[in-house]
Amino acid sequence: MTEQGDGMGAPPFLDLMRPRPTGNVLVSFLPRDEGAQLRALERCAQRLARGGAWRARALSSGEVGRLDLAALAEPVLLAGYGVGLVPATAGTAAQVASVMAADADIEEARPEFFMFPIGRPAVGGGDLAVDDAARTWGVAAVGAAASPFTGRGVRIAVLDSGFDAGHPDFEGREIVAESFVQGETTADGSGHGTHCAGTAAGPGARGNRPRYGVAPEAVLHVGKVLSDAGRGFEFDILSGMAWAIDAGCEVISMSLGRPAQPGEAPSVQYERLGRRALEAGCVIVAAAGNDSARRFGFIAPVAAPANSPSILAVGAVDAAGLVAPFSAGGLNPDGGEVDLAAPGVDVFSAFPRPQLYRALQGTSMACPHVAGVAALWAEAEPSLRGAALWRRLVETAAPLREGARDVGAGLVQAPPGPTV
Amino acid sequence: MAARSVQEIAMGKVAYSVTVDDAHLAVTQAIAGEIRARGVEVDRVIAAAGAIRAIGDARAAEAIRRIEGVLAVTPEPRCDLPPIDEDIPV
Repeated sequence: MTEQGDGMGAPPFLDLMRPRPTGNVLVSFLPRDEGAQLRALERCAQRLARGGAWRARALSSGEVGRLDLAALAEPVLLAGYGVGLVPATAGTAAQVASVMAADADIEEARPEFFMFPIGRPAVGGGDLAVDDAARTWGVAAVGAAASPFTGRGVRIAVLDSGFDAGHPDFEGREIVAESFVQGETTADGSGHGTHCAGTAAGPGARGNRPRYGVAPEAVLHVGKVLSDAGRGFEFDILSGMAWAIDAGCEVISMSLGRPAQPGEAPSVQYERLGRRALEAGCVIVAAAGNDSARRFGFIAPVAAPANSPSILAVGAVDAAGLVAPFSAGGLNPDGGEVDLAAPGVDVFSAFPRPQLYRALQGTSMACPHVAGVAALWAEAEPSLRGAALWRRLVETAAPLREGARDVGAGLVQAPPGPTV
Repeated sequence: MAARSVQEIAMGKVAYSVTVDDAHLAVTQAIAGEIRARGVEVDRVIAAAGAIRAIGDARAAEAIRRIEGVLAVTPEPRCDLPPIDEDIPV
């Protein structure tokens, strides 16, 4: 289980997380009056063979804020600040920037980049596995990287905030999608669903992109049950569960939940669908919840619906195999236990365009690791469905140093290849 | 297919999650009909879960509770995500 890698130096996925250009060119002017700056923009348009078709406009910051910069048609000048934005319609952003940077009134011209929240780089160095150029630490730690199985033909439903169907890593993939959120398509306005789907069924390694999907050849069923604002009504979630069961999915991954109180009984409605799923040959896995603050000694009970006896609850561990400080614990009886643990810290996976990738943490990230491994087992042995598949997942888990309250049977493990 | 959003529910009304008991699970649709017969709007039924979404005020909730086979009536719970951020577990 322990895997050594190069834990030194730059994180291996840094190139995939570098800034991405918007297609516009950002121009900084030398100290000139507004008229000279506008004329410089129009002069550059002529040099770019646009024949003066550009009409540069000086706008206030409020006016710029209301523009759709992704569909900018003509140059704009942020009045009083000596900054302009030019659409790269007459060439690539680099070509337009080169022409503009040579103008006597322009100090600098460079491609504009999308700006994203600054995250911590995913640095490995743990005991289970570390990220490398071939696969994420999570894919290695659950044994998927070494398994001969890919989930081929197995249907995994990811019930979440939708999915970016145009993500380049999923080009050509068969994806079934349905929205249960009023007034919203299956597009992912949050990013959470795309990240979770990427972990469960994202692609194998290609070029400098590592494998981050546990079951790269599974058939992804995307049920949008959380809105773009991240809000989920339980009837939408229940509807998505029923849809996935009726669609014959062998695995349903639910990285969602609401906090449960100590002593709280599981929801009758979720439990009925959990049982119905097992009877239909489907295992539902759910995130155990993120409400613990273990650094202060506080452990939260497993959330709903993971606290249903017929829904498999997944806790999160880090690359050292230690329970994540936020991961819920098995405090309540009758379904409130943690059943399995999976990678849930610094998990690199897909994110909606234009960002494409992001490393996130949470039991939401652990849950689709288990869903993906379940798909690998379902492919390996077609008789493993429903309760039999659940038992196999638990029986083959790798023990961890942490106790069963926090990690259940241990770290989920993919089916190994035939022994020689 | 999707239920109405909270914004669309009239002032003073609430979306209730009605749970049918085990003995009446097979007649969940009939219980939904009983709820409608009491003048309460039924928005969605998930028979396999014994779950009915009804929209009404507090008096409607009381009326639903009196129907034989109804186990529980609660305001519809929600599952919300925190903001997507590297430092916030999701």
